[in-house]
Amino acid sequence: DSSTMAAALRGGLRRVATTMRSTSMQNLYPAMGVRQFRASNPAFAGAIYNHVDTPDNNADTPWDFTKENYDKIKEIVKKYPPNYKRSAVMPLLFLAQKQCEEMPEFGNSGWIPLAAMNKIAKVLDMPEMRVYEVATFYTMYNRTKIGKHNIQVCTTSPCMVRDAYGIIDALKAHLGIGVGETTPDGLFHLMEAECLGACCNAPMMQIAGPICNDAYYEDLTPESAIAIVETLRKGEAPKKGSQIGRHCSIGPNGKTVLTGEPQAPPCRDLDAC
Amino acid sequence: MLSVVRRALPQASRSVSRGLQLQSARAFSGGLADQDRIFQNIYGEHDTSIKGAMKIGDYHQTDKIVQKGWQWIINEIKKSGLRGRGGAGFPTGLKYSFMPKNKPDNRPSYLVVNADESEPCTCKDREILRNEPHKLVDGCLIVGSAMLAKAAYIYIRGEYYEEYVALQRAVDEAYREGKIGKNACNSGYDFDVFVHRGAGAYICGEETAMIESLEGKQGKPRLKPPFPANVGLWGCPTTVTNVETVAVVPTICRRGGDWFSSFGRDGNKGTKLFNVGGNVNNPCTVEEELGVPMRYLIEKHGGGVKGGWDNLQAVIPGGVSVPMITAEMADKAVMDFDGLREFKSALGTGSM
Repeated sequence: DSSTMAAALRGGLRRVATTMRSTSMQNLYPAMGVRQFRASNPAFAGAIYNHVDTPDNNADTPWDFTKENYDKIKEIVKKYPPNYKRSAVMPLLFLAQKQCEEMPEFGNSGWIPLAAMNKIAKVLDMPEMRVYEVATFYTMYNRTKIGKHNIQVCTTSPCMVRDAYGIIDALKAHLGIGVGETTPDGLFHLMEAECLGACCNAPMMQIAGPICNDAYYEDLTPESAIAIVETLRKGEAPKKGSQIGRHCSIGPNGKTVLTGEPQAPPCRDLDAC
Repeated sequence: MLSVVRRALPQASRSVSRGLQLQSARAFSGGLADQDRIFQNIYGEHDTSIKGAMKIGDYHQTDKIVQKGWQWIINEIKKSGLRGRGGAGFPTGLKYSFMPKNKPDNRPSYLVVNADESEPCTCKDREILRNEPHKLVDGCLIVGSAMLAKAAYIYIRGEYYEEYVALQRAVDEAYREGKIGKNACNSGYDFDVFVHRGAGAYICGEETAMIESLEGKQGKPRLKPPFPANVGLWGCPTTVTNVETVAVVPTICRRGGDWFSSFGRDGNKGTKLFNVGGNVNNPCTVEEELGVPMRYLIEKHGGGVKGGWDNLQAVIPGGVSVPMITAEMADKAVMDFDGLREFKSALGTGSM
């Protein structure tokens, strides 16, 4: 009944109060009544949403597409209805990011300065804020300068059970940086990525940059991952795809199906049906 | 995705499997024969250009199929019992029939192909995009004509750059040879195919988010209703469909819906690309009929679990969005939509 319930509640509250005074809670709330401030993990590769003006990245930085890129833009815009040019904002952002790899004033690194986003807004007749929205939403657009080669190691479950973290640890030790950091010589940036869609060839990594151009390097071991990095350091292109000689997604033990020549399927008489 | 056990399993899992009852499975016929596989060049060992594709039957009599009209094509797909291969498993013939045939304001219809394969464990569409892109382009034309669509937009995820290059090359070849564009395949139907790259967002695999992304906005999903078949891309009727679903339609039209529905149990017809990944000896992609026992797929095609079957801890049967099943359930599980629903899981994309 209500009086027993009230007694139970009071007892409960007393227990809570006692617990709060106990040492375990004091470890969590050492100065009761004072709100704790905790800093979050440092953001990397343009993961913060606001733009911070710097001398080489502000609205007045001179930036324009090259002539070849303007020709490409004409072809890109043709793919969409003429009154919906803003659909081309995503390909144009990629184009701007790729162009910065060749621009020494932007560190020969693949990223999108604010001036480039403003230029895209002008080319596509859209408000600048709409370009900023798209550039901040998608993960492949870098809004701050990162290393020349962006090494993205997949650490989602299928790669993780095949020791993707071993690859990350090996690369961290070899390059001397942590995840989300760039080497001091500006050559390599290391980051974890969400599933890159090569789960039958796990563990794997993708490298963005002028030499690799977003290629996948699959079936890695810590040694082969380091070998790829050293090949890049010399300025050469590492072997793409599987590092253990697999062809596409044929298993390492060989094919179990499609062992003969490919055959065209029989086509029934379409006039008869 | 399979993971191996590091210590003994708790006993609680036994009570779960005792309560389950399997529906009677059709006796498994021992796997598909190679000539019944739809994707003959899924490993890309042979010519992936349009010449190689036409040798293995792509674009064969596509003009006749398109000229048969939308009712015939949708009917064949319904007869085949094809269910969406993107994870949801919605009956495809029914889904394609939702597109409006009479549009009083003459808005164009669009087909959007979902090649944003971001589901962890799934890498089946990748093989179609890079090794058999002409099946996809051929499928886009046939499915597009069945929806009276004006154009197809293939939304490929940004990370798949090499696959995008291969797909764009295939689309350019198809335009050059007159297979798409004005008077596609000499059928009298005009149809365009465009490739649009995503930029790294898992949520853009959802159909309304994909449409938002194609419109040049952030990929944030919309409310449904209104459904994409009424208000989709740029306000026009749109259907968003998976790569594999579209790529098998030409073969279904050529060989017949009855042929496709000769594989698999009731309600789970046809063949599917499966991925076997995780802690197995032979991780690979393989095309098998729906209803193949999971153990057969893992042992024969996947090379068996590392350390033996008893070392198996759990299996995620269809991409990480579906519930995991234990090793005991994996012993009895059958890879199709109903078979995995019995174990409170789902087939999803069929990628383990």
